[in-house]
Amino acid sequence: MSTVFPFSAIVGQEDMKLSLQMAAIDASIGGVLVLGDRGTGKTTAMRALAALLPPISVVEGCRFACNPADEANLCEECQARAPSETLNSVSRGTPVVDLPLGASEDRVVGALDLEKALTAGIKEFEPGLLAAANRGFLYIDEVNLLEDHLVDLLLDVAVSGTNVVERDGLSIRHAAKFLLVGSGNPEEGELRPQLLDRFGLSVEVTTPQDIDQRMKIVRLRDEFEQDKDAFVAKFKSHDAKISQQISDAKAILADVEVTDDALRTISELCVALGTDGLRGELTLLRSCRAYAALQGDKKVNTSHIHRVAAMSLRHRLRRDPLDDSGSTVRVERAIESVGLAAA
Amino acid sequence: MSEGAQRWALATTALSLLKADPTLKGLLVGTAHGPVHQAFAAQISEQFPITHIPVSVSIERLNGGLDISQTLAAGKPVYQKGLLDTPEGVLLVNGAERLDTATSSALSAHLDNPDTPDTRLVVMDESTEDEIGLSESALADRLAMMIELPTLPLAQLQALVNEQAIDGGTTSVDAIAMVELSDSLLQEIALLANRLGVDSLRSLLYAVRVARAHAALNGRNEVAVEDAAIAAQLVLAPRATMVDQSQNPDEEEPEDQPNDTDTPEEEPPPDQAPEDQQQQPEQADNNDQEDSTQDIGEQLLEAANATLPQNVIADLVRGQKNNRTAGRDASATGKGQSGRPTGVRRPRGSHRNQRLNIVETLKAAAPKQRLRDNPFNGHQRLKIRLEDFRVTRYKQPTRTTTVFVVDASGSAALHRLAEAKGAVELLLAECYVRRDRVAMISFKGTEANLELPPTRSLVRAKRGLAGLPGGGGTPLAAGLDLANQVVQQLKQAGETPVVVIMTDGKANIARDGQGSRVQAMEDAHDSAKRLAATGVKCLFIDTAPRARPQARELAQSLQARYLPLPSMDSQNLPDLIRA
Repeated sequence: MSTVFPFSAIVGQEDMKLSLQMAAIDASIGGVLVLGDRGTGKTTAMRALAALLPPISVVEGCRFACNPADEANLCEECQARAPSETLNSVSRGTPVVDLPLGASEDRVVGALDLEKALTAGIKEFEPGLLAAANRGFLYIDEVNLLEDHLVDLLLDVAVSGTNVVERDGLSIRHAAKFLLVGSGNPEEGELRPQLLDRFGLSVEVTTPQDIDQRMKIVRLRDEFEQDKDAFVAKFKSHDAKISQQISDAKAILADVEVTDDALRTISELCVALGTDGLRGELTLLRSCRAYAALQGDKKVNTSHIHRVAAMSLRHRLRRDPLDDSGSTVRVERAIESVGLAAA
Repeated sequence: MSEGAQRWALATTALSLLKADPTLKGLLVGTAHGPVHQAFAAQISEQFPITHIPVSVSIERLNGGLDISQTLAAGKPVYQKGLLDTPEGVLLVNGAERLDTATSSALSAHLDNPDTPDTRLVVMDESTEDEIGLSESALADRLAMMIELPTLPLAQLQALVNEQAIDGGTTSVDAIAMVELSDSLLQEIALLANRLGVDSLRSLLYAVRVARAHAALNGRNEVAVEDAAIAAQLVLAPRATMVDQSQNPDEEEPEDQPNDTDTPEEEPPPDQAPEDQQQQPEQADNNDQEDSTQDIGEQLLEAANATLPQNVIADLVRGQKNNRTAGRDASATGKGQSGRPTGVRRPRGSHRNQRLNIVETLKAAAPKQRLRDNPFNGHQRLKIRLEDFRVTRYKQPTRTTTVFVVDASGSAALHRLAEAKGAVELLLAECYVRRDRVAMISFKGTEANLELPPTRSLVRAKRGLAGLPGGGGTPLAAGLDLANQVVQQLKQAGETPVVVIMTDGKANIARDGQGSRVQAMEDAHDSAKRLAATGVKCLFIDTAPRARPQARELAQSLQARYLPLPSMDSQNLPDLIRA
């Protein structure tokens, strides 16, 4: 395991950082879509966040990273082992799995283990990337160039948390709960609206043009490359603070109250924007709650809604393909129209 | 030093830097196949053990895994190591412009992975000027340096190879880390990146690292102006998307460079002994930063511009920017490994590139077991032969790209450019529904322009269309020739192009740019026939107020469907494309 750039040392990109933290607090928000230029620290931010999350405890030797505390949901292999042996637990860092653009379906969902089948004649499942990402992060760069049927499949699994494999004469189910992070540059092609809608949050990142900020970023990154350990040590307390905030937020998440008034505002906002279905409302509700929890607030107020509305809704607008006025602008307009000024 | 020699020197410097600092990760080399290419490859192999990665490599071969035919023959698992697991040296990709998205993103992921071994990736891009190269891909963004090899006479090449040794063993990663970089110089580098329109922070970071490594190689413990100049040439200039407007572009043409050799800021031959460079006047200037800051900026910019190839500048000044990542979609050149599964087939060619479908393979082998004299006793193992192998067949969506060729000449503008635009917008909306890509070419004055390279972004298409000015002559032949080029490229990439031409057909500028109506029409017919010969489907929309026979004749030369705009309800257009 090599040293990762500290989360707290990432300059700017507040929306991206916030959306990742919120998704880490409440997995039911769904995946995060990061749209924007190359070289804006998308990969860095995701790896950094994974590194500061507390280690997870897994059953030793389990290929699906089962949680030993959650006995009801052990994978079939662990269930088979449980009666005859004690399942030791080991602790490991939150996994981050990269899904390369050309990955085959076999590689993603898993397939028959060729080696065992050919040499020993045993029918066994060889877990794919979805299993490797269980309880961690799954990152897809250039998700807009990924084949539609794979994106479809990924989003299905991301929402259900279960990977169902019915192929090669195998019939397997295993847990695959992960935070899906997709990135891409819309100038290079667009995602189908159906797929867009299924990402929980969508943020736009741009390369900072401000010279001072660019210099600051380069300086920090450069310092990191020169002496990684010293650099990480320097930011350790900041990272620990963020990690603590996330844990605290998780702890109080269930207690965060959403008043009828707040819910009404959320609905009004969605109606004003004409988002299809209830997915927009649900996501906005969950992200408001996660954001309030992150702030240590026990009650969702209008400032919370205001802060997270754009990232929760901007990719759900029914759009005219030829209308190039930014979605963020439209969300802002709608926010004003429902009388929700920045509080 | 001649321009060619300078470029060669820069290339060897890049190799030295790559050797000195593994965190630079890689090098993109623009080159035509030939002796210079070979000499450069020989230079690499002198410095590093080389592992060749063929463009057609399979993902399994890259990442390693079970070697199926060996395994079957041996009766026990035989693994092959992935090419990416090579512990040291250089991974070399030749003809990288042909890399498909899957392989290229596997290589990108390899470079991104912080746990990868200390291998460097050298990518040889052999694309010619009118082809789509690699230099703007996600992979290129992850390679620190980009160079363009010169074409040199053999004798000169030999002399250069002999006199310029690669120097990479004299410094260490630790020494590089000790090199200081002043704030003022960092600011200059950052400003230069902004002026050249290099947005990616990754590139800026690489520029800093290259400058530092170059300083260390030359025995300095602080980055000097010449180090920054090298970084500008190797990292920033090749990625430039704009030309600094404060400069007169004419002065930046490489042809005019010989005059510059006598100016003091011309970068020193990088491989000279360090003490040579200690005597450079800049060293002294650099110490009193107050009054020299402005000078440093000017110097960096000139060095950067000098390495821009001529045609890049010409394109840039016209506001053109090649975007071709979208064109490198997995489906375009796929090895039949992606898409939706649709049944099985026998593997073609080397089965190593394909994943066996075990169940189907076993089914194919099962009936033949008795013939193969193995009635399941004795060995207890099935006899599977090569002929039983089955792989899954994948269906890839065929992608259509509609190429709009829009007449923006004065005669068209006068009549109905606005209506033509409206018609294109209708077609665009249709393309969005069909998930087609679009490209747009316009012609006016004396030349044709690729206004919009193939893209799926309709927003860009609309923006390009809205901003399309009209006026000038009608160089119809030029427009059709450019369309031909684009069509050929799309076909090469495995896509299905469709061409929609909107013009009144009154060509009055010949191919050579002369204003002769007769010659212009002759050229237009000639170009039309050539385009028709590619077999591409064309739609000819006559935008003249009254349909004339000359336009219809042109449409015939194109073997295109002819549609006069006046008689047409513009809502019907999309249906016609589909038909």
